[in-house]
Amino acid sequence: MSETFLRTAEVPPRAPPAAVGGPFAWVRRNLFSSLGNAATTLVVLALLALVLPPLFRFLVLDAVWTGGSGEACRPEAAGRPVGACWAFIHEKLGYLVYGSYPLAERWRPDAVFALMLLGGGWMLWLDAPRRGLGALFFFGVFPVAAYLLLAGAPALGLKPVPTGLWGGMIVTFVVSLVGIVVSLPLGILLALGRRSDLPVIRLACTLFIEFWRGVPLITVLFMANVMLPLFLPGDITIDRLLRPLVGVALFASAYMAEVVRGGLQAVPPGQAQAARALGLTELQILRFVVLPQAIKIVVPGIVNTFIGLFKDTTLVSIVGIADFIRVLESARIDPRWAAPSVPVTAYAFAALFYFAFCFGMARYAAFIERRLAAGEGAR
Amino acid sequence: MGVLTKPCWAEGSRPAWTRRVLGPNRAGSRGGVLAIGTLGEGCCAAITPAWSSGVNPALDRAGGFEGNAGAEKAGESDARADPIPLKDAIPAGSSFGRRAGSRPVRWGIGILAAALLLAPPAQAQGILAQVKARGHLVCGVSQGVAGFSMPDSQGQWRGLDVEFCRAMAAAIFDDPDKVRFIPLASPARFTAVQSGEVDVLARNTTWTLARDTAAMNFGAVNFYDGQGFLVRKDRNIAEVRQLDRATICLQQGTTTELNLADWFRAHGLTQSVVTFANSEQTLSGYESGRCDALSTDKSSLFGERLKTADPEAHVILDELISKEPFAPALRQGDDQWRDIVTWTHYAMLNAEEAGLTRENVEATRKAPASPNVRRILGLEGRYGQDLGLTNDWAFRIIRHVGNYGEVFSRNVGEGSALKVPRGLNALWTQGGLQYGPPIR
Repeated sequence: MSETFLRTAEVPPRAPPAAVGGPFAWVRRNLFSSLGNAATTLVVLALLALVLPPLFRFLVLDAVWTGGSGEACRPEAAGRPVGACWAFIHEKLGYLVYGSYPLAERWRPDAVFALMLLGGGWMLWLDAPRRGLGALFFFGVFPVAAYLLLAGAPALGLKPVPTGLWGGMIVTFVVSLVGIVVSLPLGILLALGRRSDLPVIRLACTLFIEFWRGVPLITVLFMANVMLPLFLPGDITIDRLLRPLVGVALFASAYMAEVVRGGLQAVPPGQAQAARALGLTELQILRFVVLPQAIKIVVPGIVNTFIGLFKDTTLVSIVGIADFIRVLESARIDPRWAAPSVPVTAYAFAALFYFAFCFGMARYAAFIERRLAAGEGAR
Repeated sequence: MGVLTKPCWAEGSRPAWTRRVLGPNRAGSRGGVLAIGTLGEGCCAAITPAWSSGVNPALDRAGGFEGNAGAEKAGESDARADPIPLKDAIPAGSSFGRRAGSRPVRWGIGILAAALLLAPPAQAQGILAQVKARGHLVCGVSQGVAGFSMPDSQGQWRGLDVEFCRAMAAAIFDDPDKVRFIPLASPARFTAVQSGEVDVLARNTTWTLARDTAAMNFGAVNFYDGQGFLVRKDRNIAEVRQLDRATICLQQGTTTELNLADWFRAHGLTQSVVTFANSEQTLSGYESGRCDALSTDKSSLFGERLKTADPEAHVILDELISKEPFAPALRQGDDQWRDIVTWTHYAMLNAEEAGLTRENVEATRKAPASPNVRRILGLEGRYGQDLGLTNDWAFRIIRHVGNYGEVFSRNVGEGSALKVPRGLNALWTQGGLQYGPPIR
């Protein structure tokens, strides 16, 4: 007699597998996947908990938003602990944006900002119609229009405004935009020149690049604004803003040239050889084969140079140019606004300003890189 | 020497090519060469201050540029860039500071300088003529020192030094707005004067002998400052002597530290010093109780006190331990311009002494009371014309800008947030040092 074993009760169901979707799983996969990761996550969270609440309290909760003088930002006047004194920034905003630009003419820098947004947006928005025209506008029409608007043109009925009155964000944008608009084309030319077969061109470009890379920017600025007038006859004066502008542009070009050269060297020589075999002219090879690939490779380097340039513009304040940082420094010593939290507020505002622009540039570059990489299916 | 063409280092470093090109000393062309040699030296002497007083010390003593922001305060910016003699700035034994020995080298320099001098001479006409031809005055100011030169919320320049330049423009053009302000960083200010980039430098600059001999002249002192102390009121300290064995907060890289050490040693006292990188940190160090006193130029102490959490809890000692006379600077070698710079300030002093103000000067001019007032207002004599201006020059200054007392009160005194007492800057009739020679 054989015995048969029959289960009389159901096997209890096993626990379901760990979630593979949903926020819980994401947290587990990304933040707590191993002991080390879990520890790192906890430490970072603890640091954030330590830093963020006081920062938020200082910048927002305890901040003073309105007031006519520094008195409003004193704890005894406010009757509570006082954080950032945004009333100060509000009062000084006009000065921070325009510097000493005459009040009646401030629509002109506004118009320049609008044109800048239009040109920049046109060129940077990849699906915009007629982007070639946009580039022409940004690199050709915009600089001329901006110059006429800012400096003035009596022929057009625009009162001349000497550059000594420009200040604040106007100067910061002018210096960085001139640097960007000049350095990219000039840098590409220099990079090509340095790889040229013609020894004179190669030597000239190499000398130029090595000279500008070999001196610190601060030296260039000092030479331009402190020493240069001593070497010129007294009746020749070069505009005080133009001198550092030229210095910054040439300086940035040298760095840009080396970035672009890195890209050119990364393009396999077979590409140019193949193009040549197809019968393309040298110019066509550059334009359709080599440069597009080279530039694509160095997008991070180019953006890096731009961000560095944007931040380096603060150096012009040392030679007496009233850039954004400089006017902020002047504004915060106003005795009418003397309050304990005013200097910190001023620097917090500067940090936000520079962060917003640099982070914006970095994010845009990341977007471009993703888009370029998509073509190769290498995400 | 108007045109500064040849830096000294070219002479000291003796480039090899000079010797090769010029060869040994040849007789025969002595007269001409001697003249050129003199020119070369003149250029060299003229440019020396650019290195010794303008650029180097500021770099050396500030330990870089980051201190510049804080350095814009009256005190240390000024104290810091004191010129040091060229020979001190250069390591002993280097050929840099010594006059080059061999004559061919010097001739080479002279010839080079002469070639560069062929450019049309810049200061053939006086500064006044240049200013008039240009249509505006160019005035060098600070990049922002509260009460002295600082843009307001609309970007208009305000301050004691700014009003001085406006007074000059009023005297020259009858329009105080015909002046352009060039903000100058501390190291750049003297070269800007020497190169003619600015007509006058009104930048809370201490008048010292070394600066006066460095291709610059100074006008009348428009503010007497000195190093002072900020202490807590509840400490009941009335004079600096009571700070014996005290700890004192200072900003790094300025001469305030040297002044302090000198003064305490001379008085047989001891002190300990805590230095900070910038004025913000210095103040918070003082406020947090690390020091018994904070020391910097007295004119900036009033601004610092305003920044404390409770300004009422601190007092500024009356006593000063150093002399910091602020005077406008101008290029050397133009006596007429120097007279105008000097007398612009004296006119404002005379006006205060005679009771002429911005409000009453028009009425007073119609019915002047005394011969002295008649002379000041240009109704008698031709004093203005002799200055190179019009006879109503002082009237213009008073009408557009006001007398010294008004300007002082508006910018740094009772009428301003700083509330600096007149002290040394009171008229001589009220126990101060401001003394305007008579206009007659």
